[in-house]
Amino acid sequence: MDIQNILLIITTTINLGWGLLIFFQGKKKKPNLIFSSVVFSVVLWSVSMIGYRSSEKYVLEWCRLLYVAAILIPLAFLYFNFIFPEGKKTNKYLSFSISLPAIVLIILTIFTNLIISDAFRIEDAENKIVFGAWYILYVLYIIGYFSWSFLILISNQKKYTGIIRAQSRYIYIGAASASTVAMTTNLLLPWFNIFVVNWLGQVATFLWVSFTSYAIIRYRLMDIRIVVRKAVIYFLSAGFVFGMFYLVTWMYNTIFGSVFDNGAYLLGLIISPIFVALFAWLNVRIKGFANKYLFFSLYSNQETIAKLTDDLTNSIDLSKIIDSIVNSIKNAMQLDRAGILLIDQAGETIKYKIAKVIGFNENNGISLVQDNFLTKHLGKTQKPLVRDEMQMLEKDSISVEEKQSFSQLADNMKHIEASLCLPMIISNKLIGIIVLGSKVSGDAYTKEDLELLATLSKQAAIAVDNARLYKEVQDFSKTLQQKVDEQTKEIREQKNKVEKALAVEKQAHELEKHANEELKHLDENKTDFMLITQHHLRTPLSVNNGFLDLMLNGTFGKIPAKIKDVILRLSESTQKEIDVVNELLDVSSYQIGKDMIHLDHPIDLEALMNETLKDLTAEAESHGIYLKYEKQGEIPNVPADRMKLKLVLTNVIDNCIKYTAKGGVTVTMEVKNDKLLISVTDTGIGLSDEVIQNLFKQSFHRGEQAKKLFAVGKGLGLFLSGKIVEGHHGRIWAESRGDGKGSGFYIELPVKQEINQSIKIENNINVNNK
Amino acid sequence: MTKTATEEKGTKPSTKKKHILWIEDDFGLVALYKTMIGTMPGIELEVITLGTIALQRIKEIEAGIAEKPDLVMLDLLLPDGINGDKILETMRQTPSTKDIPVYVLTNYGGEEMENDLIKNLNAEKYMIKTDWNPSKLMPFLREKLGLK
Repeated sequence: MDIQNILLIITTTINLGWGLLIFFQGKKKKPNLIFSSVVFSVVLWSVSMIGYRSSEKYVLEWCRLLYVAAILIPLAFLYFNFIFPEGKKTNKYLSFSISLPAIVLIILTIFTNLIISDAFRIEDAENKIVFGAWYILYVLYIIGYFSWSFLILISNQKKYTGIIRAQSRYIYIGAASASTVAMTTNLLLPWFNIFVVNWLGQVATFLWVSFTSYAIIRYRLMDIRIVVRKAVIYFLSAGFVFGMFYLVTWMYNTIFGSVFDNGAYLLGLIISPIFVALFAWLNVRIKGFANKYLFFSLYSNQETIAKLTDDLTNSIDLSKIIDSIVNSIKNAMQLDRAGILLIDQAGETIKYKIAKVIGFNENNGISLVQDNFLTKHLGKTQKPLVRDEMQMLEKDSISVEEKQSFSQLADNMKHIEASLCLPMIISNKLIGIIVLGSKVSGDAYTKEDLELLATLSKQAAIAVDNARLYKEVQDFSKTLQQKVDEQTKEIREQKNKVEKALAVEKQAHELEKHANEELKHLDENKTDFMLITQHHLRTPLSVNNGFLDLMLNGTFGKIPAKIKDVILRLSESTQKEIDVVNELLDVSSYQIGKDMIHLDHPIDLEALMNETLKDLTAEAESHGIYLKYEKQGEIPNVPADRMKLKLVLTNVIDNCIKYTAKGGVTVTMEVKNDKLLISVTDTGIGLSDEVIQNLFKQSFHRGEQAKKLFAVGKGLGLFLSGKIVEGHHGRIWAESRGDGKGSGFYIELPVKQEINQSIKIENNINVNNK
Repeated sequence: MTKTATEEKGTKPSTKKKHILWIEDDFGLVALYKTMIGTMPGIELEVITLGTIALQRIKEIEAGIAEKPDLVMLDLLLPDGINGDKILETMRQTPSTKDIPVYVLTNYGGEEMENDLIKNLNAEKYMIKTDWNPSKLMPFLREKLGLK
C-alpha cells in the first residue's frame, strides 16, 4: 500500500459519492444521468488504476480495463456536452458515430495487442506498459474527444448568458484542468516510457469534482440542490478518516513491517489521541469552511430577501405571489415542504384556506387550518411558532386548557409534518400563516433562520395584502364595468325609446302641423262664416236704423211726440243690437286668435288719452256727469297698438260713464317701476266681488248683479279689453268698494316693450285647442 | 239739333243733377237710400241690384252708350255672385270708369277685403252700413258731390 493508492482511494470515494449524488438527485433528468455516467467512468478509471497498481498477477488485465475506462470518460463527457444544458435529444446518427470509434477502441484494447501490447509489474516503481502499434489512434481519440467537448463549452460562453454561461465555464475549467493533467501523465508520458506519474490523472479528477461541485452549489448546475454543506462535511470527514487509516497502516508497514508489530501498538497509543484531536480540529475546520464558503448554497439572507422582495414587488397577482413566497422559502431554506394558508374573508366565520402547499398532504393540512388556537396564538404573539419549542411553551403555560391546546397543536403539526408556523401580520391582524416543514438536512431552525423567516413573512404579508387589495379593486372595477355596461345598455334602450318617442313626436308634430293647417283653414272658414253672418245680421239692422233715423230727422214730416218716443226707443235698441253684432265678430275673431296686437313704435299715450276723452266727453255730458283727466308726472311714450289700445280706453271709460248716474269719472295716468298705470274710477253703482272676478274672463257667466249691470253687449267690450291688454303684456283689473260706492278699473302696461314685434295674444290657436 | 244742344249746354250745367250709381241688392236698403236721396235735391240716383248688370253698365259707359256716374256707392255681397270687388276691379281696368270715385258701403266687415279695395283698387272709403245711418251719410254725400 502506498501513498498514491491512498490518494486514489480518497478521490475514488469522493467521485463515487459525487456520482451517486448527481444520479439520485436528478435521475429523471437526462443531463444528470449522462453526467453521473461520466463520473462513474472516472470512478471505474480510478478503481482500475488502484487494481492495476496493486495487482501482482493480473496487471495486463487491469491495464486493459484501465484503458477501456479511459475511453468511456471522453465519450460520456462529449455526449453530455451535446445535450447540456437543455437536455435536448441528440441525433441518433451522431450518437452512433461518436460511439463507434469508442466501441472499436474498446474492442481493440480488450481483445488485441494493437493498443496495449503488454504490461508488467516493476518492484518499487510504477508498472510499465508496452503500447501497441495503434496506440496513436487511442491518443488521438482521447485528445480529439476532449477537445471537441471543450470547443462546445467555449462556444457556450458566447451562446449563453447568465447561469448557463457560468455553469459551462466551471465545467470547462474543471474538466480542462483535470484532463490536461490526466492526458499528460496518463496518456502521453507513458507513451515515452515515463510511468512515474501514471497515477496522477485520477487524483487530478479532484480538480474536476471541485469546480463542477462549485457550479452545482453556486449555479445549481443540473438543477441539483443538495445540502452541500452537510455533504461536504460528510465526505471530507469520511475521506480524512479513510485516508488516515491507510496512512497509518502504510506507516506501520514501512516502519515496523507489520501492523501487528509491538512497536506499532505503542505508536498506536500515541497516534490515537493525536488522531482524535486532529479529527476534532479538522471537523471544526471543515464545518467552518463549509459554513463560510458553502453557506450561500442554503441561503444568503440579503440575497433571499432581495430576491423575494423583487419577485413580490414585481407582481400583484395573488397566486403568483403565493407561489413565489412558497417556492422562495422552500428553496432557500432547503425545506421538505412549505405552504401558505390565507384567511378566508368570504364567510361569516374566519377560516384559513390553503392557498398553496408543496409537499404537504392537503387532507392533513385542513386540520391545521381549522385550528383556532393556532391562529389565536399567532395573532397574539405575532412570532414564528416552532414545533420543537412547543413543549417548552406547554410547560410554561399556566392554564390547563392552554397546556392541552399546545399539546394538541404540537400533535397536529407533527401529524402534518409541519415544523414551523409563521404568522403573516398586517396592521396587527393575522391574514395568513406560512406553514413550513423540516429542513432537508434535518437540522433545526436556527435563530438566524427564524429572523430571516420573520422578515420574509412580513414582506409576504404586505405583498399578499396588496395583491388582495388589488384583486378587490379589480373585482370592484369589474363590478363597476358591469354596472357601466348595464347603464350603457339602459341608456341605449332609453336612447332607442327617445328616438322612437322623437319619431312619434315628429309624427305628432306633423299631425299637429296638419291639424293647425286644418284649424287655420277652419278658422278662415269660420271667419268667413262670421263675416257673412255679421253681414246678414247687419243688413236688416241698417235698414231699421236707417229708416228710424230718417223718421227722427223729419224726412216723413213731423211726428207726434208719443210716436217719436217709440221711434227713439226703437232707434236706441237697434243701435245696441248693431253694437252687439259688431262686437260679436270681434270676440269671435279674438277667440280663435286671429287678431294680432301690433306693438308699434312707442306712442304718445297722453295724446291717445286726450283723443279718447274728447270722443267721450259728449256722452258724459249727456249723462250729466263729469269726465276728468288728472295727469300725474311725466308720461313716457309706450310701445302699443294704438288702435287697439284706444278701443280698450274707450270701452273702459265708456263703461264707467254708462253706469254712473251721479258724480263722474276720473282718469289718471302715472308711471311706477317701469310700469304705466291707467286708472279709471267712477262714482257709480260699484261692482260685486263675483263680477270683478269674472269681468275680464272669457266666460260670460253672469250673476244677479251682472244681469243688472251689463246690458246687451257690455260684457264683451270689457272682455275684449282684457285680451288686448294681455297682448301688451299688461294687466287689467277692477276694484270696487261695494255696491253703490263706485268702482275702479286699472290698466297696467310695461313702459319698455320690445319694439316692432308682433305678439299673438295668448288665446291663440294652439292655446285654444289644447 | 244744334240749338237744342247749345240750349241744353247753356241751360243745364247749373241745374244738372249729380249722378250716383248705387249698387245694392237688399230691397229694404234700396228703399231706404231712395227715400234718403229723394230728400236730397240735385242728386240723381240709379240703383243696380245685380253684379252682372253692373258689369254690363261699365261696358256701356265705356262704349259711350250709358252715362258716366259722378259717384259710385258699392255693396260687396251681391246675389248673382258677381261681387263688389269684381265690379270695382273691372271699373279700374276700364278707362272711362277708371277715375270714378267709388265708396264701398257694405255690411261685410272683412279687413282683408277693406285693405284690398282701398289699396289695390283705389276705393275712396270703406264704410259699414250700420255705422252710416242717413243722418251721417247725407252730409257726407253732399260734401263728396260738391253740393251745398
